[in-house]
Amino acid sequence: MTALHEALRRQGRMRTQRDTDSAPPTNGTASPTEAAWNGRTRGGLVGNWIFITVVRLFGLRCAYALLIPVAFYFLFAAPKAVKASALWRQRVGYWSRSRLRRLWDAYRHFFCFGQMLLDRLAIIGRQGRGFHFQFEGEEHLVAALSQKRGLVLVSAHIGNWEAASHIIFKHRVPVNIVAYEGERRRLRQLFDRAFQGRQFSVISADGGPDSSIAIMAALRRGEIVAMHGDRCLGPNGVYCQFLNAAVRLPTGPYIVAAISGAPLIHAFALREGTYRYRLLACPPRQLSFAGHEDRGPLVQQWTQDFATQLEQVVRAYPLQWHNFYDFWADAARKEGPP
Amino acid sequence: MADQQIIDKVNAIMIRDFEVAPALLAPEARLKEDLGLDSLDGVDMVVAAEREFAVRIDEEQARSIRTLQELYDCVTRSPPAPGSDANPEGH
Repeated sequence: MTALHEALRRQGRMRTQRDTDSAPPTNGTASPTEAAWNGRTRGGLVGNWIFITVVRLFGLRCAYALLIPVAFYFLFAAPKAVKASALWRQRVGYWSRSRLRRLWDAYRHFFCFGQMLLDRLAIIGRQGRGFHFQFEGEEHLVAALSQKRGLVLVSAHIGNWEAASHIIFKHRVPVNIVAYEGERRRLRQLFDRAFQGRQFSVISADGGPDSSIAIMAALRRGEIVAMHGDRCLGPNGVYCQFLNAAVRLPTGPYIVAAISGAPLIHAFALREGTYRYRLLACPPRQLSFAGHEDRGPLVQQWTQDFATQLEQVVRAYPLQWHNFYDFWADAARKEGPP
Repeated sequence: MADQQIIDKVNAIMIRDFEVAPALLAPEARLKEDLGLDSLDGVDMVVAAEREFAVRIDEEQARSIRTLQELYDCVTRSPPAPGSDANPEGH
């Protein structure tokens, strides 16, 4: 059992199947066009402005109240997201035969996502004041940074990674966030405002040579490079088992860590309640290739290890999963119709 | 002009670590289009060359490498890696 698994159990958050009348009747997947994720997140300027204003003037709890009709609205305005949420809950064992119950669960999923976005605004506005952050495994981060070889931090679209980044900044090491183009501008604006005076940069994950070189250069300067290990849009990916099905995950973080010699840490920032977050950092791993022949199997193993750890986390925090598209569609397309 | 020993060693890395066919290893061969190296392979290649020749290739130099010839030249011009006594010109 991994340290992460133990930590989750210790907190009594490791849930088993809940509210499952039975296994889902189908294993349906969205069509490729439905499933495709374009790197952009929904939300408009006006909507953001309203929420920012409410958070600023009336506080976070009032903004949560405003979120109730918004999450309800998306039940009807975002059918693809509703479907993706249902597919997700099937996979994670959160599925009910009752249509009403399924709608309620989708609503809770959207509401939870909205809470994270609002928390992020509040954290940025207050520079983290008023929030309680519990950091489990901070010693791993300190140990990895003390090597002065850079650090590859791998996370996923679960919890509130961006909002918890200011905990990482506490260590006064420049942070580089690797993001797809659709997210890059948004992150730049967000972090520019949130982390004024702190050293950070956003590296485009377009798969081009400049990105890889920039990542390597940052690690050589002893900086942190934060990457998501769950969305694979580029050519570097392998199929791993995740929640009992194959899914394509990016291998870039592991290859970069092995080539550079930088330690690699899996880390997750999870919401525990109002104003409360928990950051989990796993022990650092030192990855390396012994020869050319072993590369494929090693990269496969490292990526699968992440999938296994991620699975433990998502089972404990299923509503904090924020990939609102059919996560398994790519593998389903590859395998073809049953 | 790059030293023949550097050329031979870089080519050997290409064949051994990146499974490039020897017939493709012409100086004008482009790393991506002709030799099939992706961006991570490119970085890997640079790191492998640094180790082999005990040199340090900086970020700007690495960005400019598009062909094998540019890689040879880059290795030739690069300063020794910190803590290394190696002289790339003297290979």
